Amino acid sequence: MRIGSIVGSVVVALVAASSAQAKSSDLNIYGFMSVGMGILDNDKVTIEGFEGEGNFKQDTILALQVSKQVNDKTTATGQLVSRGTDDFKTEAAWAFVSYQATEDFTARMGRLRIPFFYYSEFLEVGYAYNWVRLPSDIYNIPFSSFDGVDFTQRFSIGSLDNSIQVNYGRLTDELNIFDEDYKADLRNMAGISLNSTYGDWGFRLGGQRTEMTLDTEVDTAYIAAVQTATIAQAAFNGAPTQETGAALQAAGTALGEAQANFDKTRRIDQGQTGALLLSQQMGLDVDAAEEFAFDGHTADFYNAAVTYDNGDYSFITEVTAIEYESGLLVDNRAWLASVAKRIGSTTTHLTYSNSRDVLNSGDSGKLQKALNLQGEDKSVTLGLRYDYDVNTALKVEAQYHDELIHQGVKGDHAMLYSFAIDVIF
Amino acid sequence: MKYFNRLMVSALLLTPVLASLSHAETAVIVSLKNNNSYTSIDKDLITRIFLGKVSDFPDGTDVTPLYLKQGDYAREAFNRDFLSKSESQLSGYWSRLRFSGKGEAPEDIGSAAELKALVANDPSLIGYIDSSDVDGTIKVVHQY
Repeated sequence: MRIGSIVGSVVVALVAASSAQAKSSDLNIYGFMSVGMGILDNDKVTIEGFEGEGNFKQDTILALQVSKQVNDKTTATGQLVSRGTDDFKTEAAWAFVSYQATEDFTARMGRLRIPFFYYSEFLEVGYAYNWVRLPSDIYNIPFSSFDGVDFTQRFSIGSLDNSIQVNYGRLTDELNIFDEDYKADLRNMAGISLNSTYGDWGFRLGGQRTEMTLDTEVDTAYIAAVQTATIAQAAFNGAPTQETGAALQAAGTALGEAQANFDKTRRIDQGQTGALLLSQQMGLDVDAAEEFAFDGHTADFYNAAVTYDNGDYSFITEVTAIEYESGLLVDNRAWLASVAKRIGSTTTHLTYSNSRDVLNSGDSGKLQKALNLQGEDKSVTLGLRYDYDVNTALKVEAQYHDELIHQGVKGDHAMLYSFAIDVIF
Repeated sequence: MKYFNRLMVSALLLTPVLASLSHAETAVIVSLKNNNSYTSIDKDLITRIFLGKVSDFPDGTDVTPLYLKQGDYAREAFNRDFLSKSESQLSGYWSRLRFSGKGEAPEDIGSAAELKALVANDPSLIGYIDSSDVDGTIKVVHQY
C-alpha cells in the first residue's frame, strides 16, 4: 500500500518535473575517487586482494553521483562506480528514488546498499574513513547492493538522536567467492538497523537475513567414478582375477579422468561434491545433499558498533556474526577496534581486526572440517592520513596480516604496504 | 597616585579588548519572527541542528541550518567550538551522508550580510555569524 503510493508519487513527480523543470533545483553532480598502490612482501598469500609485487589497480575506484530533486519531497539519485578490481566496468551501486514523506520519514526504492555494517553505506568512499580500504577481516561480504525498498524513521529521545532503517528486497548477481564467480539469487533479503548518536558517541545495531541460491553443481560423473572404482577395488580384493584386475584398471583410468575434471570445478562445487562422498565414507549422520547446498538456504548477519569522535581522538569497535544455514560456508565471527589521533591535518590510526570461522557442531562440523572450508585471520594496521585540503586526503598504511588458518590448513603471514589518494568532488 | 590611577583605568579599558582578541564570539542567529528566540536554544541542540541530526526547533517547526563559506573566520570558530571538527572532518562527515543518499550539507553562504538577510526573512533558517556582525535585523539565540 505504502509502496503503491510511493510509486504513484514518484511517477507524478517525474511527470511534473519534466514539465516544470525550472521550478525544481539543479542537477547535482558529485563524485569520489581513490587511486592507490600496494606492495605485499610475500607472494604465497593473497591479502586484501593483493598478491605480491606492486599493484596499482586493486584500490583504484571512481564514482559519480548524480541527483536531482524533482519536487519538494522526491529526489532521484544514481551512483555509478567503476572499480579497478572489476577492470573498470561501470556499475550502479545506487539508483533510487527517495520520497521524504515528513522531515523524519524517508522511503527509498531502487538499487540500494545493504546496511550490513557501520561502513556499509559508504564502504567505497575512501575519503570518509582513515584507512586506505576497509579491513577485509570484517567487511568481506561478497555483495553490497540489493534491489528493493528501505524506510528510515528518525526520532530523538532527549539528546539521543536515532534512526531506524528497515530494508527489503532481492539481489540477482554474480558473486565472487574464493576468487571465483557464482550466479546468485538472494531472495527475501530483509533487515533492520538502528543507528543512534549522543554527543560524540555513536551506537549501531543491525541484522539482515536472506535466502541464498547459488548455481553450484554436484559433479555426478566424479561421484559415479569414485563409486565404480570403489566397487572394482572391493571386487578385485575379494577375487584377484584377470577379469577383476582389468575392471579395476579401467575404473582407475576413468577415475583419473573424472578427477582431472573435478579439479577444474569451482571451490564450492568441489565442496558440495566432496560433502556427498565424505559423508558416506566417514559414516556421518548428515543429510549432505540437503545441508551442504545453496538452495534457498538462509544467511543471517548481525552487527553491533560503538563509535566515538571528539575531533581530536576517535575510536570505533565493531563486532559481526554471520550464520549460514548451508554447511558450504562456515559461520563467522569478526571484530575490530581502531583508535585515531588527529594533530592538525595529520591523523594517525591503529587497528586490530580478527576474523574466525566457527564450525558447526556435531557431524556437520566434522564434515566442514574434512572439506577444509574454515579460516581464521588477524591483522594489525598502522596508518597515517594527511588532509591535503578539504577534498583530498593522502594515506600511507602498513598492515601485518596473519592467516592463522587458510582453507582448513595453517596459513602464512605477510606485510602489505599501501599508499592512496582519496578525493571527493 | 595619579599615574597609578591612569594605569588602572587603561588596564580596565584593555581587559575587554584582550578578551575579545583571545576569544572572538560566535553568535547563532534566527529571524525576529522566530518564536524560539524566546526560549533558550542550547549549544548541544545547535550542534545537532548543524550536523543534520535534528530537523526541528524546540517548538516543533522545521529548521534549516546555513553555513558561512569555507575560509570565513566565523565558520572556523563555529566548526571548532560547536561541531568539534576540522574542515576536512566536516567534509568527511557530509560525504558519508551524501554518498549514502541520506543528506546534503547545509548551503554555504558567502558573507555575514547575506546570511543575515536570508535569516531575517525566513523563520525556518538558523545561521551563525561573528558577534561583531550582530545587528537589529536578526535575533541572537546563543552566543559562545
